Amino acid sequence: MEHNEYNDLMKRIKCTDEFRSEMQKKLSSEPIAMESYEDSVSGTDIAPKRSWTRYAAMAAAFVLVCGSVGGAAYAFRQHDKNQPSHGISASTGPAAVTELTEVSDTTEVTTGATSATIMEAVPSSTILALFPDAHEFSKVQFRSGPTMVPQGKLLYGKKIRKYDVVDYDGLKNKIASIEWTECSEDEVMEKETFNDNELVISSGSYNILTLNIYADGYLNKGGKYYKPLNEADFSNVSNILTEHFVLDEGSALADMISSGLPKNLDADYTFSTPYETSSGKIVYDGEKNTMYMTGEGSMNNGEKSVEMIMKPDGGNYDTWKGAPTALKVSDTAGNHESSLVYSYSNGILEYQPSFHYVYLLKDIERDIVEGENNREVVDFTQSEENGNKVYSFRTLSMLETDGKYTITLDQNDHLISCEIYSNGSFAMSFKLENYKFDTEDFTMDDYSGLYDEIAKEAETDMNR
Amino acid sequence: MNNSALYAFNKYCDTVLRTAFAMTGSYPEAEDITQEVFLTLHAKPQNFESEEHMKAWLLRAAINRCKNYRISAHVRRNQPLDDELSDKLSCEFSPRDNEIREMIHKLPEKYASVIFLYYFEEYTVKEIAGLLGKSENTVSSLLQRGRKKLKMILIKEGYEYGAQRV
Repeated sequence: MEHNEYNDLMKRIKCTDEFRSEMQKKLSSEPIAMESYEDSVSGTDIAPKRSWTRYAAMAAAFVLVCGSVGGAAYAFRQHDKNQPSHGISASTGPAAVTELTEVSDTTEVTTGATSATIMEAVPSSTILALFPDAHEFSKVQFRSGPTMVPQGKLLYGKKIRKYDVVDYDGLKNKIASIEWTECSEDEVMEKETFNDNELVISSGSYNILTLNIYADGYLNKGGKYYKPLNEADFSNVSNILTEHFVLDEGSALADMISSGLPKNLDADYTFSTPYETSSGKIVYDGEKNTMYMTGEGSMNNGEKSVEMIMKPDGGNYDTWKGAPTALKVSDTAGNHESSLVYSYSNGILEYQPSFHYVYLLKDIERDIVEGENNREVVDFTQSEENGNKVYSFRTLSMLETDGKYTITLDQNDHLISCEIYSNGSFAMSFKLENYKFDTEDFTMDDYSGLYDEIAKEAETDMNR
Repeated sequence: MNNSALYAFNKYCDTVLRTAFAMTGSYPEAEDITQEVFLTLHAKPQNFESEEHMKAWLLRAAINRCKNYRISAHVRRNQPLDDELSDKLSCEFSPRDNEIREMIHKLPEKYASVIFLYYFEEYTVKEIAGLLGKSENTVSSLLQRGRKKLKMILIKEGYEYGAQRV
């Protein structure tokens, strides 16, 4: 069987329209407790067969928010009768007719040049009910940056931080004491996201389990969105969050590592894993987004030397695109073995040190605060050694992998070494020596010619 | 981040279906498994950190269910793919497709899952290790043995480590 045969067949495996439609109905209804569908890792229980009739569709009642360009809309919600308070927002429009239309539970009135929407406040009990019980979560997560990433790519540029909550009941009560009204998802997305090339970037929200509290003051849970009825309360929400959310130790370290990204770097390094050991030189120019590295050592089952150049101004390491990088591998006698052009964010790990110092920082940041499988940071300690800050901690994930990290930062939060153990076994170490960070008169040789040269060799290698 | 099951289904239903198909070789079973995965998510919402996290959870859930199917004595097999799907899918499947499906079906799930994740979903060994809770060495070993078992030419020179050329 050829690789492309396998992939071709897989590509043709798609959900049928019938299946898709039925599932969308089920997933739009209220969920039904399904003991038989509990997650199982043991592989001992036999999954039930599909039975559509088991899941009687329960029509979800959605109240449409009225609104139209150039028109005016008065929306009267009927789902909560016990809340008398209203707010008004206005926008201008050219509509010149007045009409009254009643559709279902929504009444629209279109007037002249100025339109207005009367917004009904939701009861505080509705807002309180959005919050999960305290025992259901341990941390609040803040997320900002790209909301999704192309398949198969690593995601950089995303910021995740974890917070401990101080006085959760106080937080809930303060938030619920604000007058809230429902708003549309479109309004929230318009305010909270923006486009950057092909990516949709989120300005950030705090997540308490499935409740999202946007830093700008919106709330979202499930398909419902809320905003303060009064403009002044947007900033009050932000103040409440600041008062009750405290950055945890791991996220504080992640902040330091992130801020320690150098403007430039000139250093010697040593790198080792259980399978490879190498040492060499790094020259990094953050302004031009380029880096040159050399390395010699035991790599990929043999003694090798590598030369790597990240294309000047070629790419953006804050996004999935990564920076195009050319890598040349030679044997100990200097004979050419192979050349390759790749993007780090594609996850290539063919030759070490085919990583970038910048990405090393980002990977560690990810390990601490993102991590797949809800990784937690535990046993966090801090000490000082030769004027540097040494942080040690363990990471635990739900997949029960145990990582042990020792990270050393200089006084300006530049990472100068890290050592990682996984499940008790040595996994990786990286150390800078003779390092110079952020030199004022830093200059870097022009390696663009080298990039082109290696890229050409890579093309030849590909066509062999 | 929209964590709803409906959003997840609309975005990843084909991915989950393919994962299940890659492990069972049966379209009806893959559909059953897909249904279970998303209904479970609907009943027990998860707090996904990212799209990647959501996708990884769905893949993991699908793979776990496939293991269950594989130990079931009642699962349907050996039905030609074109017969299974003739009433549902608009595309046609050749006898060769059925041969491939048979190979998938005969492959132990431990190989089928890593081969699908590596070669079709283009996850790295490291990512698969995290997703399946195995060491990177184990995943690499499974890939190698899976390749031998299938006797298939899955990769061309230059793609051995999953790199995508720029």
